[in-house]
Amino acid sequence: MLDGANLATVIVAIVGLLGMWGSHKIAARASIKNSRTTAEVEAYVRAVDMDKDTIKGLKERLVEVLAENKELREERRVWRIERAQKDAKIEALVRQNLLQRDQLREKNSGQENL
Amino acid sequence: MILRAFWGLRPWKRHSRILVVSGVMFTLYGIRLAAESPSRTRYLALEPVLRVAPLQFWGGVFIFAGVLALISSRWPPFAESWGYMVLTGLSLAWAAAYGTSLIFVSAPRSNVTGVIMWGMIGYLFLSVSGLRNPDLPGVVERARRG
Repeated sequence: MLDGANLATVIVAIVGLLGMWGSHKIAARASIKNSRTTAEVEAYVRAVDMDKDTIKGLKERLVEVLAENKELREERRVWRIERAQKDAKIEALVRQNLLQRDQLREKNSGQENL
Repeated sequence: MILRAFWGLRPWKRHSRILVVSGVMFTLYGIRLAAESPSRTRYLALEPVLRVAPLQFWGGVFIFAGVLALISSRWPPFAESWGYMVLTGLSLAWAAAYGTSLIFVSAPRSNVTGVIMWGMIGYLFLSVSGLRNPDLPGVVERARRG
């Protein structure tokens, strides 16, 4: 016979079971979200680590490039000095050449007058 | 192969702490119930469950649930929130016991307090079981900071 008290007992049992079922469903959903979050965080951390490695490598390369740049500037400075010296030498030679030509022309015109 | 899945402990995480504290609470409440000799009012207040078994038995159930919650804080490795199922089920059933005896057995009005309190405790476990439980809570912050 299902009197009030017995019905109450049945309700208590049903509520207890429903509570367990609800808790299980919510926890299962949270577990999936948790796994997804963990995977995303792991991927993010991996990406950050990779970026850090790339930045470190680029910084090292930058130091090398700056050192190379300094050497090349020094070479260019030396070459400029050498070129200036050579230009001066060429100018002196040209001037000497012109002088010799004038002298030759004068010599030739002197011989013609004779 | 199946036994291997049950072997080992989970790392200590957020839910472990909650389950341990709740387990201790339930165990202590169970001891209190087991040591209690129910008065007439008390019997009326919990008649739906006391018809099934004496209060000492229900004390034992609470102690058992508390111990299960303690165990569930670290074991088994593949399931991390089954302790909440036990705690939610028992809390809501206890709230229902107070509520139904109020409706069907003309229990004292003070049962309302029991319904609200145990209902809220049950709801609390229901909500907490849905919270995320990351391996290392600091990792997210550390990753965001770079």
